[in-house]
Amino acid sequence: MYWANNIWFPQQNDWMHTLQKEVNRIFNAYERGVESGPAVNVWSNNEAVVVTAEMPGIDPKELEVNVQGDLLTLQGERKMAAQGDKWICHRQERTSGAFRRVIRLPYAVEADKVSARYEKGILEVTLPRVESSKPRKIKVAV
Amino acid sequence: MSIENQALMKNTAAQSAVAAQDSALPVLAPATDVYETDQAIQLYCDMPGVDEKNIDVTLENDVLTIKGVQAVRDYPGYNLVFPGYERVEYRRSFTIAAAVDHGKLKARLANGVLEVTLVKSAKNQPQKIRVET
Repeated sequence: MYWANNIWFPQQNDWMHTLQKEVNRIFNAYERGVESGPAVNVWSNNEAVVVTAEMPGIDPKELEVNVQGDLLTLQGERKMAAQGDKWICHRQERTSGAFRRVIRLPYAVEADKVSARYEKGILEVTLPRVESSKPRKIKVAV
Repeated sequence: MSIENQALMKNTAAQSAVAAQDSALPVLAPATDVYETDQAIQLYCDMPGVDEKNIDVTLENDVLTIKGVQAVRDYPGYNLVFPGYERVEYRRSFTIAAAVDHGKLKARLANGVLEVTLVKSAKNQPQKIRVET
């Protein structure tokens, strides 16, 4: 969804133009799926990164955690149990279906030492830093 | 004041501090699915990161209230470099239109989803009435 700049609101109308740009930005992000996927918190220090993601009601078997260099990919599918024909649905706000989220980490991580835990609807991934990317103190020779 | 009493006072003070801290959390309404049959009403609420002991489900008259506080998730020695979500309190109320059996309220928490089952009262079940001729 996009409105051409000069059709509806002439550019001289400043606040209208700002509003229009903002609306376009939101819808563009929506179409590209920028903010899609589960909400994520990233914690880090010099040794490791911890990523937590809110994903309630997921079968851990349907979860896939991939690491490549400094990219972490969380993907999976949330399947809702069929409620049965005799149930009338009044409200359905919980989302279901496939999701995918790629997170760029602050540094490359040791892919074979990554551990993931799913508890109470929260996924916690711990990723230790690659030894070669750790900061090193270099002595200055005098 | 005896030592036990002092300890008790400290404990309640600590508890009220926690309560005050919790009430300052942002409040969200959990995404909910509601289903109904002739016999029962079922609700599913998405409440990730909430412990069983921090969930409060009450049915007062015809209002069902669901409350839950997310557990503290902190990593000492780590910096939060990308904050995508914050710790919240979930709170939501529903007015139940059907008469339900207050003794048969059931709640279950699995994988961050709260499932609440309300059983409708037997006297309010649909009855077939025979038309006499």
